[in-house]
Amino acid sequence: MIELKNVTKKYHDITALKNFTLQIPKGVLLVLLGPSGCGKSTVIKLINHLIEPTSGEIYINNKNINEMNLINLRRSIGYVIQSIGLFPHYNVYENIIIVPRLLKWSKKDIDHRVDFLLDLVGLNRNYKNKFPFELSGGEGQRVGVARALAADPPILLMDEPFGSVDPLNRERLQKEFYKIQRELKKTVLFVTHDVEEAIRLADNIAVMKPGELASLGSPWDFVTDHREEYVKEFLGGEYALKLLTRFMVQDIMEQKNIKNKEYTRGRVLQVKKENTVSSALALMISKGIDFLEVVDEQEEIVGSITFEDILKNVFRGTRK
Amino acid sequence: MSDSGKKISILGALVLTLSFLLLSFAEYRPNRVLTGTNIGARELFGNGFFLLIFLSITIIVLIITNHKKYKLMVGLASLLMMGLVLYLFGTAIVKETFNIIPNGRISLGIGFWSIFLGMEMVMNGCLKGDKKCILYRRLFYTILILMILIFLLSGHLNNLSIMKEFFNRSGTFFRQIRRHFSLSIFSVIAGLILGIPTGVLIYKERKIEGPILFIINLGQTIPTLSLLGIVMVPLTLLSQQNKFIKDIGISGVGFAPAFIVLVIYALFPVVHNTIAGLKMIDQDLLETAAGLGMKNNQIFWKIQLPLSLPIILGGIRIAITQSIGNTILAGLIGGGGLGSIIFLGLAQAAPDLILLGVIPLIAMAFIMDSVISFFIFFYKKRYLGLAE
Repeated sequence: MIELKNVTKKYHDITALKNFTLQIPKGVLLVLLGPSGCGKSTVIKLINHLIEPTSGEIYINNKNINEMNLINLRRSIGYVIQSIGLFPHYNVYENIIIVPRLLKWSKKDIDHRVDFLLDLVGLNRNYKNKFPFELSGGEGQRVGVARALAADPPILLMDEPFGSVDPLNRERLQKEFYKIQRELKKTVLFVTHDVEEAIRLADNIAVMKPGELASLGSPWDFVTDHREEYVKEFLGGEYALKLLTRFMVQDIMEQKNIKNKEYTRGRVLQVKKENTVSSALALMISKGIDFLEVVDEQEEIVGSITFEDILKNVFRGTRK
Repeated sequence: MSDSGKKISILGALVLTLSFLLLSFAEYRPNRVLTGTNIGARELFGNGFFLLIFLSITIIVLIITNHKKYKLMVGLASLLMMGLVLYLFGTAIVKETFNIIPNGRISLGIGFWSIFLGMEMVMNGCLKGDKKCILYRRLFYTILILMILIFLLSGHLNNLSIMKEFFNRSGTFFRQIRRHFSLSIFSVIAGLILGIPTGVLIYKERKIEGPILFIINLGQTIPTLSLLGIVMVPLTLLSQQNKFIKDIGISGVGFAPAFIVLVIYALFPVVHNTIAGLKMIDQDLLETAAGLGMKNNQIFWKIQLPLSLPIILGGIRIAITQSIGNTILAGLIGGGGLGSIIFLGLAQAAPDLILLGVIPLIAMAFIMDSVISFFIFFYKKRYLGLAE
């Protein structure tokens, strides 16, 4: 568990954070959302002690980080930044094993771990000998995530980790990271300014305005409940559409018998059950239809989704 | 090839042709100091002269017609021409041909240097705007130097006066080369031992940047000779007053002052490049390294040093080539090295003796420069994915 208590950070006479209090329970992915320059990255750097708070305390598992060994603290925290920060003179293998090597793991354990991590982030094992300049942006980010996970740290700090990747790859990385997180149950602080990304990944969303916390809650609260004018402004007018990116077609589809007469009617388009609801909706709008067949990975029809389903079920489905 | 490049190349090829037609390629002197008579290419090379003219015209034609592989062909033609000149020269200057009396000397004429100029112009023009310019150039000169070395070692040019000077003092010659080389290299090594930590210190403590760089820059500003004078005075006094210093061979003349001056000169590029190399590293990388739990010394040895290495090596390259040149001055104060041969030649007005000192000096500087450049190129390509 990470806890910031009344933390203030001043750079000379500029206040980056003012009486900032935030809790991230164990195993929760908290997205810190806010415009650039609002102090998001400052929060991250305070936690791994790259910068020191002017006042206030930071606790990890109820222990004040000032009383912890700085180096051990950092080695127990995975850290990913937007520019990836892969060391250009190290190949993928050497980049990934930095922390395990610092922790003096055996060669055998390290090799084993690298193979596991490459599989986890979806990179081919023969990438080990490639240098960062040979990687695409998306591949680089995968290596960055693998490096952060290398020594199996209980905590991950991610500072706009997918910010420099093109939209297509960003979505893929988000999906994969979501899966990894559900599997590994790390405590994650994820900083971004991308509302869609926040809704897609977060267990909890903390919205920041410059120097302070504006609101904190689940993605559902975030989209539907906005007493805060600031949050509303930040969301923009399309907030409800953004929520659709969080759900997959399989969450709200109707499981129907294939022999149902509706299926025999005319030409019907299909959508994969792992696709987001927003992509299903986009397909409906672009083709002027309100009905799609849902197929699984083997291209077998498993159900259907209609415009009605989206209207009714998204909001009902998330209320529980 | 760019238009301006083409013009330079053709001009260079014309310089080649005209050199063969008009200039003297050898100078005959009855003894070491008397002025001599000039011998032109036609007289010296015999029928080979026509072959040389043919080759230079071929080069012009290749450039004008923009032949597909003209760079390679021009390069080969130039090398062939140089080989031919060296061969014909060696064959021509045997005593019988020109009735040379025993003490007479035959030395290289102005035409020789002129064709070097012409060739450089041809190559410069041909490679203008070429991405691999540096590589081709180095390749060309390496082959040329090897060719000259082979001719020299085979004894084909033994009748040349510079070779006679060499045989007269071959023992000293090699000793001075070794001395010159070790003086240059060890002063740079000392410069590195002092300079790299100084650079690192300045990088970490920006406050001391001003005063320390002021001193180092000042050392670079003072002319070498003056600096030598400045160093000689306190060293002389020291060795007069302290027996131990005198006993280990340090005095106002000789090795010690030369070494100190060379170290001061080496400091400038080493310190500046160390600071520049460290400053160039992306702050994000250093923050990531710290965030991953690397200690400061680990960050320095594993991240900062390897990443700034190409720039630091660039500084070492400058320091070494500069040091090889400056070491000449050691010859003035009894410090030895090729400078002692050069200054002897100057004192005796014997141009061949000067050349005997200068040529190995140039070769030495060229070789060291190439070796380090290649290492930088390789390192950047292999580890940083940067090709020059």
